[in-house]
Amino acid sequence: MSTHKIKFTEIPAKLPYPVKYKAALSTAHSEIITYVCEHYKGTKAYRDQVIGLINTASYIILNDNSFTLKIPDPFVDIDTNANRFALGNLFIQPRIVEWDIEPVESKSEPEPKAIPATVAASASEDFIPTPKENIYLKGRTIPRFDPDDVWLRTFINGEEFVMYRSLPIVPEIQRDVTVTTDVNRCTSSDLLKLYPNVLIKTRAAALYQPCESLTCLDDLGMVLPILDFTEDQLIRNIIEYPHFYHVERYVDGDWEKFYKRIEINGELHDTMEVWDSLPDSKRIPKSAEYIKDYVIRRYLLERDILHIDHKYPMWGSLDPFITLFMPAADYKRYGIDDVVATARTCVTSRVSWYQTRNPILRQAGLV
Amino acid sequence: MLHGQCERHICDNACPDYVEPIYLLERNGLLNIKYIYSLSSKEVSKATAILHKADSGLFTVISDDTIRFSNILSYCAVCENWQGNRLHCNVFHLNYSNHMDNIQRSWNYKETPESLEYAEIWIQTAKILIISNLDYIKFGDFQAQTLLNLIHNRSSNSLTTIVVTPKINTLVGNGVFFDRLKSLLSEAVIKT
Repeated sequence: MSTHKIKFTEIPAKLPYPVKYKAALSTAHSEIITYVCEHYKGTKAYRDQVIGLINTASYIILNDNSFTLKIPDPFVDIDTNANRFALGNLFIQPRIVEWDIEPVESKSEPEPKAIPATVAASASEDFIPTPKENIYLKGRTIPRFDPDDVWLRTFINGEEFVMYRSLPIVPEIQRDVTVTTDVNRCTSSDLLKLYPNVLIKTRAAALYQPCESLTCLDDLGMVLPILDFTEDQLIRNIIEYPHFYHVERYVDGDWEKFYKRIEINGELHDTMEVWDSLPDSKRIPKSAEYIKDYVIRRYLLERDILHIDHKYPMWGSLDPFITLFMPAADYKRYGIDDVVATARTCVTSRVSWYQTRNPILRQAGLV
Repeated sequence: MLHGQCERHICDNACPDYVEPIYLLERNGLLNIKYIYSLSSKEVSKATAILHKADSGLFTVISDDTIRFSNILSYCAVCENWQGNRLHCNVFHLNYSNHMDNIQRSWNYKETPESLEYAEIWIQTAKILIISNLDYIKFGDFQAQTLLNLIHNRSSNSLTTIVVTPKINTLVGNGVFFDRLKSLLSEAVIKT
């Protein structure tokens, strides 16, 4: 949700309603606005209740329920679960609302109730956005493990290697996932906590700058045209793979950056040498960040959608949803409804990412 | 230590990611202290907050359990500073009471023991020096003066010195230098 102020009466026009819920949300919010215009008290407590009610309406509708404005006391059931975590971009904070209506002298109205602390807290100015470090693939700076819980003991070339179970056992943030993480120990609640509470832009900055003739989404960045894949497929690919970290290929006895060469019809070509001959390159700026993104995404789309078995595959695994970069509600906006399963996939993808790259597990022949 | 998230291509004893942190953990006597590897998030946050505030100069941390907290602080400092240390002692945890004993014992020897010489080098050059066990000393002029000189030399070189101590008024000692030391430590207390 933008931090620019929006006028109270323009909320239905300014909020980024998902297509599926647009009609219901617009109707509910308009109904609330109409009611408030006729009963507005002008106090902070009243304003907080109104915003709490709008967020509650959003929450109810996004959960596929119908919202009804309860007259004469519409503020009776403000839902404390209607917070930024649940609503994502649809969440409204009181401080960004410009009240462009005048107080009305009330005849008989129930007194505003005290705002539940959790609703006040979620709408408060002390909201702390999830740090981007929480979703890094690189591990925590200060590793923790249980020295009494041996996860693996193995011998490689006659030398003993011991790996201990990492802590916390249930990851608190995405970065806590390691080779020893067991997703089966995570409850649904644990998995939902892995989502950040704000959108975190994970791609290179250049990919968020609008470019002529290319689709650029505020939250996902540039949608690069790749072969004959549809825009929906390309958008889904960005959501599943929001960033690339240490993507390599093992060729001719050595590791190289994946984007250095591109595989076309089973043959590897130097990317910069063939770039101009690629049909897609006519529409994509010839700059490093675009080219890197194109090469890797093209490989993933060919692998996942066309099921091509590449002759020169990526080193290690790279599975979908390896990083969750936006609140759960925003995933729902893009049609990914089962957010718990998606978070579970995130954990398993990360475990696989680490395990397939871990030198001890590889040298011991365990992956 | 970092096995759970290691993505290096090869694993062997020459790997810097293995050697550099192990060297520092060994120097600081942390290898066999189990509890520092299974710290709570809260303990880690507290220690890293102190390390990030303590940037060059003298800082005093008041703790009820100085030994435990100084070990935690040393471990966190090693984790944050091991990279690129090239086997130099970037982080050194000085047990001050032991150090005083070693100095006094060395007066009986013909030559200064090698371990004491190395300790002096690390005290002067470590990027982060953590000093503990002040509560196990009775400060006379010599003990207080040595510590004051150490603090002064390191501050002059913009190096970070963190003293982990119980409440300063519980330290035992007498003399002008001891009073000066207490005053210096009090002024440098970090609020946690």
